[in-house]
Amino acid sequence: MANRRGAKWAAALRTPVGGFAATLLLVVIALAVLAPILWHDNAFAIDTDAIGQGPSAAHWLGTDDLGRDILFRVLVATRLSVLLALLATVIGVVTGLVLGTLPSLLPRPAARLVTSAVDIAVAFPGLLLVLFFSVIFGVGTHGAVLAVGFALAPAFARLAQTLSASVAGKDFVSAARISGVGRIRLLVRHILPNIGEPLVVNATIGAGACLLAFSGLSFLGIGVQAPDYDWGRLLGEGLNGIYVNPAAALAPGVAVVLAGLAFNLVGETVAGVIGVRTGLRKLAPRPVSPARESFECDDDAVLVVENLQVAFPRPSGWTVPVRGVSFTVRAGEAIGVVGESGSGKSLTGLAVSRLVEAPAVVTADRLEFAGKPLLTTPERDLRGLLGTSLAMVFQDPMTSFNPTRRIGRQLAEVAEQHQGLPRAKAVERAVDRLRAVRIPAAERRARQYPHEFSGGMRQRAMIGMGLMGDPKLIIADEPTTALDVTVQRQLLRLLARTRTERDTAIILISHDIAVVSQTCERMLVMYAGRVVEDLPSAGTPRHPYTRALLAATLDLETDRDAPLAVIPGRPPEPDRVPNGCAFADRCPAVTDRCRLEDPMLERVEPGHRVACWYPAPLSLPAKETVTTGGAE
Amino acid sequence: MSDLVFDTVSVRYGGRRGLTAVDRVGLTVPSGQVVGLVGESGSGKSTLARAAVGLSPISAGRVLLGGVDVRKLPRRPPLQMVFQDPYSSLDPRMSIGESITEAIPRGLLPGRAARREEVARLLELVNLDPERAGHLPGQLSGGQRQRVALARALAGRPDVLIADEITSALDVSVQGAVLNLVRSVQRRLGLSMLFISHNLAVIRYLSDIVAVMYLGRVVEVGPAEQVLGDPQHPYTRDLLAAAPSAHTSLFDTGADEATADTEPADPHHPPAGCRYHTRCPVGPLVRADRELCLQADPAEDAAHRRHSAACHFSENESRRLTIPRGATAS
Repeated sequence: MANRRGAKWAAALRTPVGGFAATLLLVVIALAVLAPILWHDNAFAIDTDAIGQGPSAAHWLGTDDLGRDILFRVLVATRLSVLLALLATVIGVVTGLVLGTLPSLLPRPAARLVTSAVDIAVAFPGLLLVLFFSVIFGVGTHGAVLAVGFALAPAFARLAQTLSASVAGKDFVSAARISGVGRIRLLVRHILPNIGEPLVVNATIGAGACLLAFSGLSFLGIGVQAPDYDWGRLLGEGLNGIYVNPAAALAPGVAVVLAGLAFNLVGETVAGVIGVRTGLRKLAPRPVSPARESFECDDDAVLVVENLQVAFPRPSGWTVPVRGVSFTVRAGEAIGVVGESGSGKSLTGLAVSRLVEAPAVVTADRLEFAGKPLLTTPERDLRGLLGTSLAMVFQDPMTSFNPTRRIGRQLAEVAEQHQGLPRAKAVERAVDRLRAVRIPAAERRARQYPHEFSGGMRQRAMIGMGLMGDPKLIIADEPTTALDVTVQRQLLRLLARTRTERDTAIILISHDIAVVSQTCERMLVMYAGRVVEDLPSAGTPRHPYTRALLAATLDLETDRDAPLAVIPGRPPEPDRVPNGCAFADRCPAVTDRCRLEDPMLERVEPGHRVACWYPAPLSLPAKETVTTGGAE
Repeated sequence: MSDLVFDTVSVRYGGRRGLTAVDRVGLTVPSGQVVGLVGESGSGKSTLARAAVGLSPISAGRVLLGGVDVRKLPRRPPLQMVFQDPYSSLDPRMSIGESITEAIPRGLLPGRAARREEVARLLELVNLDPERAGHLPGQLSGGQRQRVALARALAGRPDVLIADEITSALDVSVQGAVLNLVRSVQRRLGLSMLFISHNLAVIRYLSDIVAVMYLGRVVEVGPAEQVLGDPQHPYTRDLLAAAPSAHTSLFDTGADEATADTEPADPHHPPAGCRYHTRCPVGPLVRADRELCLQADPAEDAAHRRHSAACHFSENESRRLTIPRGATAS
């Protein structure tokens, strides 16, 4: 864990931005520490012979009104400038953190008061707040530090508030509350550590802003006062003689910009490492492994999939969650795809409907829908075909519709786009389709927004949207997982009816083997990115995984007095699939051969393919092969 | 001693146009028994559970534990909860050992060594290797995390455990192991348990008593075999019929065409009279003479009926069901 994190930091430092930021920051820190020690005397040495001179060999950047060397003064001023900026940042961050987390500690009315105060403060521009506070705290270094710090606080408080509110809603905070953890401990142990990273990033960037704000105050003469000096004051002094010696004004300006850049870029780099923005290095194209399944193709196939593979680039190399899947779907056929999470079933559905986006790579020896190759046909030509002939229903009905537009309009749009229907005709058709998916009072419902629909009704409307064209295939990915059993039954019936009325083929992706066998005549069982069994729903499963899955499924006939069947172990990670059979580690009938050689998906009887060296004999009842009890 | 009693509990959110998520629910979890609470999403079953542990505001009624109002119990009540999502119920930055330690009541085990031993004991109790105490939740699978969540709940030495959909985020192959574990732990420790699920098969496997919730009300409650074997409320019958099973077809159930495509009622505007009448296959949608359902709330005299069923016609209907299904479905 620590190693991996270390490697991530090292990788970030090797990027151009990261390297530059780190170097710049080191230079700034080194100057802040060393410059006053080394050059303090040089910076104060008054040379009356050289007052207000331009750059020369003796004074590279010239001298000021008292004949002091400007280069040395700029270098020595690093310490005060950076120190004051950091001090102001600390004040701002601490005040912000306190204001931001107070609402979660205080009783409700007081919490509301703090929140509203922060809301009002955020509404003012930062610069205005700085000036306002510096008037209150008085001219001078102390006043300016407080002013800049407090001006930073509201934005930081708002950030801390939003972040801690999102963490406070998590179950682990509820769990801690139930076990009697007090509010302060809750804040310190659970909330702060989980919002720390974005806060650190923002504090670093805030330091850059503070530096700039502080220089501004000093420049205006209400920050650092003589005889002290920081970059802002040097800039102000240099400006007086800008026509004589431009370098005197430019040098402190450049220093401010460089130091500010150092803080900001470091913030960006830190965000890149601890956040999600990890850059991917380019990977060499993945060698595609050849098909390893016996494959037969029907003439009336709507969908032909041969050796489908989906790969994702990861920093460690290619990860292949779908490792060569082949199947066909005939017109009007309903097939189910079952498997556990991570088996690649959803990704297979997405790849077929061309919804897998870069950087993922989809390859296949053959991927044909309605006779058209999906991978080689240009996207422009495909859009019409997929828009009218392929319908997709997703698991989460909340996110499948645009929440700001009426359901009827969204359906009608499909017909306008793909069939060129005039608007009125399209709306009429939309209402008709809503009626076809048995939405009560379809005309009224068409004028409603998605949030006015219940989950089940929204899934119906989604199917209705698919029916705006003339779909040859509906791919439904866990369409009933978020729904209740009674609504689930309604929806499955609707799918079944649609299929018989229109001869539409259906691919139903589900984790529930009972749902699939109720709805489909054939099912593909997926495990670790492969189809391990392709069998008729009414048939006897021969693959040990299918049998184990069936035995582990609870239903209303399960024996209440016996322990439930479980499958020991867990599926292999997609980047660590063993060479032999992927199920070998969990299989009750494993032999040495299974661990060495990967079995092919082969026909054992008509319409039944199994990828197993030792498929269970037909006579063996499914439940007896399964081990009971045990842990994962 | 440690009966958990919901005494006409209501939970209301929002102001005048708010939502009554739980409406005058009475339910008892007897000591040492498992009560399974089933219902669709939005029926208020999770809200009811959260009310017992103080995560939802009780706006009327009381929740009693061993005769004492839970709001008056000490800060670490003998009442613990396991949540649905094992990915959000453990702090990602605390090792599982730390998470469990935190839940051990302070003062119970003074000394670091004693607490470490307790963590090891709890991890062993949930079939996890005590060596894993130093692991972060990110290094565990969903099933293993749910075991840790269970161990953390048990660390509080509860008399009553509330399990809110604890297997619905898990794969089938893991679900069995977690349910086996929950059952053996419950029996070994003699815990009372409120087990919430939308899956009737899971409820049936685990529960001694089954309660069915619909739109903020408990509509039927009774011993598990009786409620599932001889359901009195039409909603319970519908749930049983709709449970997916490899042995039944989608279409061979008793549900009527008239009610097959009806929508669940809006909890913001619960229907008058019987709350189920908008979907009921034996109610006014199908039988025009049953106007009673539109006006009178069957919850009023539910206590007198079998399984406390909130249905005016439960007696007539359950008798009718003894006739073969084909004859009644007309």
